[in-house]
Amino acid sequence: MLVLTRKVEESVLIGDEIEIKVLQVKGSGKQASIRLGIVAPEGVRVLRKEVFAETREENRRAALSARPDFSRVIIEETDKED
Amino acid sequence: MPSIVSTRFGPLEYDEQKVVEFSDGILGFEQLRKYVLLDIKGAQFPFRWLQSVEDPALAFLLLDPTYVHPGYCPPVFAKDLAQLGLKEIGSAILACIVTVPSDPTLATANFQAPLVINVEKRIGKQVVTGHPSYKTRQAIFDGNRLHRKTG
Repeated sequence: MLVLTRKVEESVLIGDEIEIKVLQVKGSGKQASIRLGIVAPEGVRVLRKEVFAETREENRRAALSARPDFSRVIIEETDKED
Repeated sequence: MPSIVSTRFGPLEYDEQKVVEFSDGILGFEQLRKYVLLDIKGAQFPFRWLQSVEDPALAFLLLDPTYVHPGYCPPVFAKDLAQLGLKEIGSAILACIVTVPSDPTLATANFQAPLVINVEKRIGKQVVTGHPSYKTRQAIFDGNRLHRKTG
């Protein structure tokens, strides 16, 4: 892993089209949080890594679902414009 | 025709031609690739099941997200579309995996990471969209009412 030290307002460039800028640092030690600004082309997915773990966990929970009894459930049709 | 004995649905015969292949698997179940879509008999609900043909105990309840969220339009990147053999997202089926707790009216669906399925080619992928306003655990009922927006 490449390790770099950056100050607030400083950036890292990845390739020609991706820029990651440190915007703000709050707190210190394990409580520290860093606000990043990211510029990337439209076709590059940028997401928090935890989203994968969250979906993996949710899929495991979903797989435990029994056949639900939706007999108490009512479907309502509304004419709301979306 | 091949068949399995599904834990939830009992003996099921399925058409090999209708198997949907998830070549990356579904997150958390990466080793399982082959599924069949099951309609729910007589149901007016926008639900169906995705049954694994490799593990009889594994099935996911799916929700058609556009039924409760007509403007649903998750960002799916060109790379994902290419992997699915799709030119545009409009020609795919979108389905959100539903988690049903013991009280089914508390069911949630994963709008953050929908399944995108190319029905003609029978290939699918769970796409983690990264969209900030789509949740992995979004309630689909309001009390005991499933809102269907039309128009």
